[in-house]
Parts: sequence; structure tokens; C-alpha cells
Amino acid sequence: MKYCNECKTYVLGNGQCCPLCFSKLSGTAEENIAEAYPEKKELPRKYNFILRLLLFLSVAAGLICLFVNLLFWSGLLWSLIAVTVILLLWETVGLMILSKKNIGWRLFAQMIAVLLVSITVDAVTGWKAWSLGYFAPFVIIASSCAMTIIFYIKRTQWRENMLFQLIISVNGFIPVVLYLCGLTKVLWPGAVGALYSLLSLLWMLIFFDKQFKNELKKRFHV
Amino acid sequence: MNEYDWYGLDNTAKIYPAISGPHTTSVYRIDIRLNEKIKPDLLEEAVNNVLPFFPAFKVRLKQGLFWYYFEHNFEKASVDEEKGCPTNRIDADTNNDYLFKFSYFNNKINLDVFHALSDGTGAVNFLKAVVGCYLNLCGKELNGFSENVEIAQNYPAMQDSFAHYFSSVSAEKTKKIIAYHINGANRPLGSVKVIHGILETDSLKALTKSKNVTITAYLAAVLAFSILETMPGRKSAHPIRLSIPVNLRRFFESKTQRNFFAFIYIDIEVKQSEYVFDEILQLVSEQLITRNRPEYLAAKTSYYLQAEKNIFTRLTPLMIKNFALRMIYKQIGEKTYTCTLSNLGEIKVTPSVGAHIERFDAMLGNSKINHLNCAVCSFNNKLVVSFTASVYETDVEKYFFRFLSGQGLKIILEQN
Repeated sequence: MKYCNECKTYVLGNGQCCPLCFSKLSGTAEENIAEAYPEKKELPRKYNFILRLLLFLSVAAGLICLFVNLLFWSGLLWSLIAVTVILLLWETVGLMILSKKNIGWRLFAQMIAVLLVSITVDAVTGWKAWSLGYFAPFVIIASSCAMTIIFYIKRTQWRENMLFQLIISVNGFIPVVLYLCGLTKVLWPGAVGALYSLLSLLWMLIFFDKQFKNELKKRFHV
Repeated sequence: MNEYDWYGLDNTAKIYPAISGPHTTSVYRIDIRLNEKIKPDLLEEAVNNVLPFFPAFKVRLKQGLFWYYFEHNFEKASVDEEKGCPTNRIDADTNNDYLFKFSYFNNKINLDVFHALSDGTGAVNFLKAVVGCYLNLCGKELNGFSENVEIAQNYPAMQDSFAHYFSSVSAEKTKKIIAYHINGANRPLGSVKVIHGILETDSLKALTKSKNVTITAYLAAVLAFSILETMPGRKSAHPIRLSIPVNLRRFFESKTQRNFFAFIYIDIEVKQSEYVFDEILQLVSEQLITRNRPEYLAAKTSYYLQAEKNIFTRLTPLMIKNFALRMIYKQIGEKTYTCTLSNLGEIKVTPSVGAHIERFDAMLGNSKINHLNCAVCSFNNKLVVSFTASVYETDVEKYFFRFLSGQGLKIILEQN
């Protein structure tokens, strides 16, 4: 075993210096001793070229669109659509592919992002309310279906997924409310969405009443 | 614990999710050195075999509107080769939502635990059971091991012993005292320096017996003396204040796997006149004796329990509560002590398991302004004092170990 003459202590391992006073150790290291800790490697932070290139290309594309759009103005702010679509792409890659968060949460966030893009497109092309009237109900139905499938596949995370199923279903009633407020012009897609949401809520309440009650109790315990 | 079960965090655990971050990880490590190289696949199997018997660990942390809570975790726990430094933050998202982490390196098994789950006693029991199961899977003959696991399953392991014992005890407020802090050049975030000093328990025991003090008191005195002697100019308006966690299971009958400990503080005023070591030893020992009493600990713990049970506290949304707790911790938590000294005491295992074990170590995580902490545990005549530092300076450790070697004790050092 190595020895530090300054500190009068023995030192394990292959180090050359005393851990306390950094003076040179005498003696030889013991044979066949397993190192206790992995070697510390100060890795320089990885320079992610692809990510930076993509970031640059997206910002450049957005700016060029805006530039061309304003220079050759045709009465339509179409560059805004381009920018939101680029943002949606980033969000999709980051959230749906790279994120480690719960799948229900990711699906819900993706649904909101898609709806926001559709509302932007609708607004830019002269607000006809199709995004809220037709598009939103079907996106919500699709998300709700996906959530139901995930609920059965990803059984270990049923508690979160049930919560997001609830949240998505509640969102399903919004198009009808918007119609009643006079913000959209067509009822039937919203009504279909609301019916679907109502059915999925009932399905949860009837088949998973105990789990449902338990989940609410946990979330709101004082 | 089944899939519907959940429970709120116990009184001490409540603080940790709020305050933990990159600087204050609230993670401690207990490791064990075996006589041979670790087989990762068997270790993983052992962890997952034993986990159901330790429901306090088989959980994940979730946020409610008012409080955090733990609920059953269905995922399997994974075991990886050791990376990074001890007591680094445990990222639940990449750890199957678990708040503990088993890793291995050569012949060492590490268990890092987020403090909200359990205290040292709970973690040591968990580690012991996993190691017993691992050795069993390796084909070693073990006597009496399976009985240990049987016991773990049966006792009331999930009791919130704080609420059980201290709900109706009259509370005593702890005075706010700003303590001296060890400063230095910060290491990069997450790179913790660990220095283990291995002593012979018997010779240390003989030394402390001749002074008529306990091992904890003696080591605390040496630590306080080291801090005092290495203090720049030996001058500070603030006292040196050691925080010593006490296992409440010693005073209050409890078999819980969850947290059940309290802190006692040892104050040493920094006087202009020079202390000699024996004076400090006496001061520390006296304070330990007067404070390490069930009535004192109950009254102190009850204060926090009553703060938690206050209706306004309970009805405040979690986000605001977290913010408030962080502020409180900054002001009356980490500022009020210089250094933690945690003595886990002697770890006992059945002899057939003990034959394969070389030693145990314990390590504590640091916080943003508490750059040095110390944990002690002993096994089989090997008492290991482990310092974890987030600064480059090693003055206190140097003084500490040189002092002990000056007392004629044999010290073997090891670092990461």
C-alpha cells in the first residue's frame, strides 16, 4: 500500500499523490486491487453540428419567407403559416420523438400544437372558422382514440393516461360551446366530437370508477 | 402496496422535492464492497426480486394540487455501471421513475437514494436485502438470509412514524442561528470529491473509551476542531454548527422503511482565545448528551409537524408551497449549520452474508452553501469516515485525518 509521509496515512489505489496534501506518495500500490471509482473523464460538451445546422436552416427559412412575403406583398401574410409549420416540426421532433415525458402528456401537447397551427392558417387565409368548426372536433376525436389505444397498450402508465384521456375528452366539448357562442358556423362536427367525448367519459366512469375516484383523491388530497 | 395505494410524504420528506436541484441534490449514497467482481445481470435480478418487499422504494413521486405523493411504480428497476460522481442528482425520467439508483463498479455496489424516500436506516436495510439476494443468486450458501426478507415483508413498513408519535407533543421552536460556512473554489457542478478514511473500529473505540465519550461525539469534536483550525484567521462572527442526524427508531419503537430521523445541532462559538481539543470534546459531548434525548427530539420535531398540519399550509397550492419552502430552506435551513456529520453506526449482517462483504461506505450530498459533509459507518472492525466536498480545498479533511493519525490510529485513505 502507498504511504504519505506528510499525513502519516496509507493510501489505496494507483494514485501518485496524497488525496489530502497532494505530496508524492512512497511505497508501491497493492497488487490485484480493483479500482473503486471509474476514471473521471471531463468530456467536452458535444458539439452537435446537425442540430445547429437544422436550427440555422429553420431560422433562415423563416426569415427568407418573411422577407419575400413582405417584399412582394400580395395581401396575404403567408410567411406566418411557414413559420408556424416550422415551429410545429420542431415541436413534433422534440416532443414526440426525443422527449422522455409521459406519452399522454406528449399526445395532449401535440394536439394543442396542431390546433394552434390550424387556427393560424385559418386566420391568415381570411378567418372562415373551419379550424374550430370542422378541424378541431376531428383532431380531438383522433387524439381521444389514440389515447384510448395507448391506455390499453401502455398499461404501466394507465394512471397518467387516464388523466389525459379525461382532459382530452373535456376539450371535446369546446367546439359545441364555441358554436353556441356564435364563434363557429357549423354544428354537426362539434356535436359528433361532444358525443364521442361523452361516450369516452362514460366508458371510463363505468369501467374504471374505482381507479378514477382514486386518481382524483390523490391529486387533490389536502 | 397495490396499484391503488398511495401515500403522502412524511414530515421530513416534504422538504426534499421542493429544495432539490442541481446544487442541492438531496441524494445520499451507501455502497458495499464485496470480495469479487459484480455480475450486473444477477444484480439487476436481485434488485427486482427484493423490491416488492420494500414498498417504500417501489414508488414514484407525483404532484397533486396541494402536496406531492408517492404511488406504486409498475416499472422494473434498472442497474447500470457507475457513471459520474456519488450523490449526483437522480433523474427519475431516465430511471423508470425510480428515485433510487443501483449501480456497480468492479466489486462495489452503489445505492444512491433521494432522501424523500427513506433515511439511512431504510436504505441500509434495502441494500443488505439486495446483497443477500444477489449472493444467493450467485450460488453462495447463506444461512438465515431468507428469514430477513420475510421480516421485511411483515412489519408495518409504511408507517409515517412522525405523525404516529409527535402529533400530540407540544412543540418547541428552534432558534435561528446563522452558522459559519466553509468556503473555497467550487468544483464543476456534479463533480464531487469523495475521500474515505478507513479506521480500525476497535482502536478508535479504545481511544474514545479512554476519553469517556462516544465515537460520534469524538468524531464530531475532531471535525469541529478541524474546521476551527482551518478557518481563515480563526475568526468568525458565526459559530461552527454541526448538524447530526439522529435515528429516532432508537427512542421510538418503529419498523418503518420511510424517514424517521431528526437533527440535533452542536454549537461551538469561535472565541478569540484558543481552544484546546479537550475543551471542544467536552463541549460537544455535553451538548450531545443533553440534546440526544427523546423529549428534546420530540419537541423539536413536533414543531415542523404542526407547521405542516396548519390549515393554511395545507390549502396553499403546491407551486406556492414549493417556492415558500425553498425560501425558508435558504434562510433557516442550510444557513444554520456548517457541516453535517451522519453516523450510521455499526452495520450488522448475518455471518454467512458478512463473509462475502469487505466494507460499507456512506456518503452525503452537499448543498449550495454547505460544501462539505461527512458520513460514518462501520462494519467488521472497519470504520469508514467519508467526506464529500464540492470545493477543491481539502484543508478540513487534511487536518481531520492528520489529527487522527497523530492519535496513533492507522488510517487508510481512498478517493474517487
